[in-house]
Amino acid sequence: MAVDTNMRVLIVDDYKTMLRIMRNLLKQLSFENVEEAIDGTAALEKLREFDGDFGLVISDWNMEPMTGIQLLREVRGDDGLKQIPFIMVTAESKSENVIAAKEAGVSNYIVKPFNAETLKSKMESVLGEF
Amino acid sequence: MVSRKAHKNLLARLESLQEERGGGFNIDAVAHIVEEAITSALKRTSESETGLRTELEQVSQIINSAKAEIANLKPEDVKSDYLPAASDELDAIVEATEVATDEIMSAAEKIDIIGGELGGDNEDKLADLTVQIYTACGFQDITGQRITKVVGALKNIETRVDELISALDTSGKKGRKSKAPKKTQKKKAATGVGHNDDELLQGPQNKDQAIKQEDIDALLADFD
Repeated sequence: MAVDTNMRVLIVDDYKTMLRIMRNLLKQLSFENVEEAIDGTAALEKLREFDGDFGLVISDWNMEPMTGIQLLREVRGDDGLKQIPFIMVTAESKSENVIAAKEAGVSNYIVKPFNAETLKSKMESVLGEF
Repeated sequence: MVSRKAHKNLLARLESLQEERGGGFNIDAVAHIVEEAITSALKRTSESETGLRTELEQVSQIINSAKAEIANLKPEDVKSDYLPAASDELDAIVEATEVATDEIMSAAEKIDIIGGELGGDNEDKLADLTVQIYTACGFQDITGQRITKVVGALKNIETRVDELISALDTSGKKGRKSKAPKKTQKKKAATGVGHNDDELLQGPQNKDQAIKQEDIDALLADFD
């Protein structure tokens, strides 16, 4: 089944430049239905605002007040949100971080700096080819 | 206190006296031996006390000398001038790179629009190039996080300097307490790997410490 590129994607990062980069990269991959949040708390509000109608969450780890790993745990602990694929995109590049994220239910993990091919391949591994 | 050696000597002399006397003791001889032992012990105590006093005096001199040297270094200046200045410079770097990155991104977005108007192969070529520009602009995020780590280290140094000033009282104001904020104790959420969330926030790693994307992929595959 083909991936619906019209799906709503939530990008979460406290660096507005990174949000802009991600939005542009997603646009190049034909994903233009993109919502933004600047930390885990704002992301949760956004997810609930749309009743969990998101096809993917792409989140940074290091944010305040709610970090990416906390957001992931909240999402996985919420019956209305827990099915949403969640990709962590972060500069936290220690194996203990990857293990903690995986244990919290992350769908995939991208370490910064990353390139467009990496983003595409990780999205495809989660959503299917597009 | 009679030392173990003195105690042995005392016993030996008493045994020798006992042998000489065929098992009996001459009270005067015993008193003489004990008196000798006490005198010797007192002499040793006095010598060790003198030695200790000398050593303490030397330690005191070293401490005073260290205090004077640290005072000459003017740790107050480090706290009041150098550290804030370094912190301000780093903030300025973050701000300047943010502005520059925004401009680069704006230019790339305009190129994207022009590429769309051109159509055909040129559109694709320009799109590939703008994607490269977008991902390269991610440097600002990484450098920003690295600089945040440095600012954190400077704050830590500031706290230590403050404690040093307070401990050595180089300003002459005794008993002054450190004004530096104490490290906040964030709520610790335990993870399954024995790390709390704060410990996991390390930011960008140096190349020799960071694991690569392919290592991460392999690690994730181990879970499947």
